[in-house]
Amino acid sequence: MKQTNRSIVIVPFGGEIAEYLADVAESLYEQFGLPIRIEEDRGLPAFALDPVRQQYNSNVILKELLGSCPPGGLKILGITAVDLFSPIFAYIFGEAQFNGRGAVVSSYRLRGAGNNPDAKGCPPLVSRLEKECLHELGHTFGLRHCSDPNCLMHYSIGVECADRKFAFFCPACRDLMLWHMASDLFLKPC
Amino acid sequence: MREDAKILIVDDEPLIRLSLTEWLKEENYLTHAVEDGPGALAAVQREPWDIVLLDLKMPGMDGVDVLKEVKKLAPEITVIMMTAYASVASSVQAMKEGAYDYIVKPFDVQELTVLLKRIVEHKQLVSENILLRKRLTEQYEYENIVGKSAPMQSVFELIGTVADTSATVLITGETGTGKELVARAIHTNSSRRYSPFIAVSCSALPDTLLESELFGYEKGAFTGAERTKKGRFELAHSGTLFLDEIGDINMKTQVKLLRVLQERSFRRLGGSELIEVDVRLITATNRDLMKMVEQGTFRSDLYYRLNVVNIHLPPLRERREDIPLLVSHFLAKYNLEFNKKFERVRSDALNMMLDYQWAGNVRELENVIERAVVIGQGTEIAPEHLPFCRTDVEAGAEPRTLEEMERRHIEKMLAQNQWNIAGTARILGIDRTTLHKKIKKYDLRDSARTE
Repeated sequence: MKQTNRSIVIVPFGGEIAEYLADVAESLYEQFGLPIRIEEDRGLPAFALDPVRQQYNSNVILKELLGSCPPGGLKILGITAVDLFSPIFAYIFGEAQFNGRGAVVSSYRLRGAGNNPDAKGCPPLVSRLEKECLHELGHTFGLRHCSDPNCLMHYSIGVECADRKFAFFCPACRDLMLWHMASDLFLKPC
Repeated sequence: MREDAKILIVDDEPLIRLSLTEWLKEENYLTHAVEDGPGALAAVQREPWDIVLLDLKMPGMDGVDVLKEVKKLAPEITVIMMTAYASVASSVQAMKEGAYDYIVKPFDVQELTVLLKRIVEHKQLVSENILLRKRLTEQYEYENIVGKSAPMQSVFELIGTVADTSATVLITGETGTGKELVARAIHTNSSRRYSPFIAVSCSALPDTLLESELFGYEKGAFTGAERTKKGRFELAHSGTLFLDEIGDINMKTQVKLLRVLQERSFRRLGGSELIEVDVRLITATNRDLMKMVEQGTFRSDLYYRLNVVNIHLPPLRERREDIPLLVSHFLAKYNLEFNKKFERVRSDALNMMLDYQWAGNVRELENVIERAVVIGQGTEIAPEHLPFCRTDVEAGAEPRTLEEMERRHIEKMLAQNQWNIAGTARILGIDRTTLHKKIKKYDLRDSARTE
């Protein structure tokens, strides 16, 4: 794929996810073919903490990310290990701006029931995190949920169900993603 | 997931409205959000919705009140109540008023996704079901003619092919097979459908009357002709004339008919003016016209004029697979007419109908169902609702075994020959000894003599 100076920027929030960043970056590069930049860790997103719910508001984190996108950043992805919520939902795995620029993903709920990553038969947390990051970035590239159960963009009920889908897009979603990417790269202003 | 499922959000909190709208849009739903009850009711009146997500606690009109009104306006809408507190009492009341389910804020994304998906799939299945049923009936129904059997399907095909031509059609088939329905179907599928369809039963009128009925008469043409009357040919101008029981017309009328067919014009009785008409002629008969031609009672030239296209309707006993379909068609018809609720036919009653000979064909079946719907109660047609299930009728039914057939035939022949053994044996083609043996075997007695 032709190289471009536009990149996907990864912003870590908290050191807990540092060990997964290289793997996530590699998988993003494989799927999107764009340069990946990992920014410095910004620490726990205390600004988004809701004192009543004791959870972190994903909308606030998204706003923060969008306000601080570095030049040349085509998409910006925040990754954290804290428990995220959105105003209407009790918890979320991640949130993305549909056909927009930003997304945020948390590894907190990806551990599954009992929050136990070491449970027997449980795939490594990094695999789930990779899929969730690709899925949310897919939304920023204008992709909706896909009916193909193997596709990355398939909406899975529960994190365990998500394990069965592949870490790549189905041909239809891939074509659509590339079309949106071309439009983002060449038609939209930096 | 279906893209056109429409969801109406009713909540007084702007943040909930905005977030839910955005999320549902991403989930491929079409959404609209309103802030209160009156807004919701206006939206429901304005356009159709699949699902309403309704907040339970709202200032002004309460969620349950809105629910009641929505259910009155559009009972098919699925309403899900949204509540900030899991208040059992209010939720139970909402469910009683017809809410499908309730969800507690903040929502569990998985729970809400599964819930909406389940509702949409259910709605899809329901509408698919309705569509399939409709298609099925449409496929097996042609202008009120019902049949899925191969011969009826080819009849439908033939009707479709000939309808929009001006070809003369001869419909043959036993009495009660639906010849007039076919004629009407041809007419309504032709370009003449906005012009009149005139039906005349040739056997219902005496020959002289039939002639004046078909061709009309001038004032003073005969005693009692006090004014000029238009005939059926004139009335059917630019439309279709259907002559039923065409085999029953006399030779004189046959000649007149032939002339109209050839010249497309005729004169009224007692008239001199030549009247030109554009009429498509469809005729029907339950008699064997070819045989009548051979016997010299029907003109061959007229026969060939009429029989340009022949549509033969098979008797019901030759298309028994259509009986269940016809039964449900007539059940629906007479349920509506007599305000009854028959839903099905008990299997033994259906078997009786499938075994029955139906000498009167579909018309007889229709009468049987009409009678059953009138006299029966409940939701199921049972054998006692059928007129031919009575034992005295069964005794007169056709014999099942050859032996029974033989017994009845010998008895009949003996009675016809006043128990003359030699004469009866001759007619039966057996010798007298054999006949005596048979009489003994079947224990036959001369009723005239025993009395």
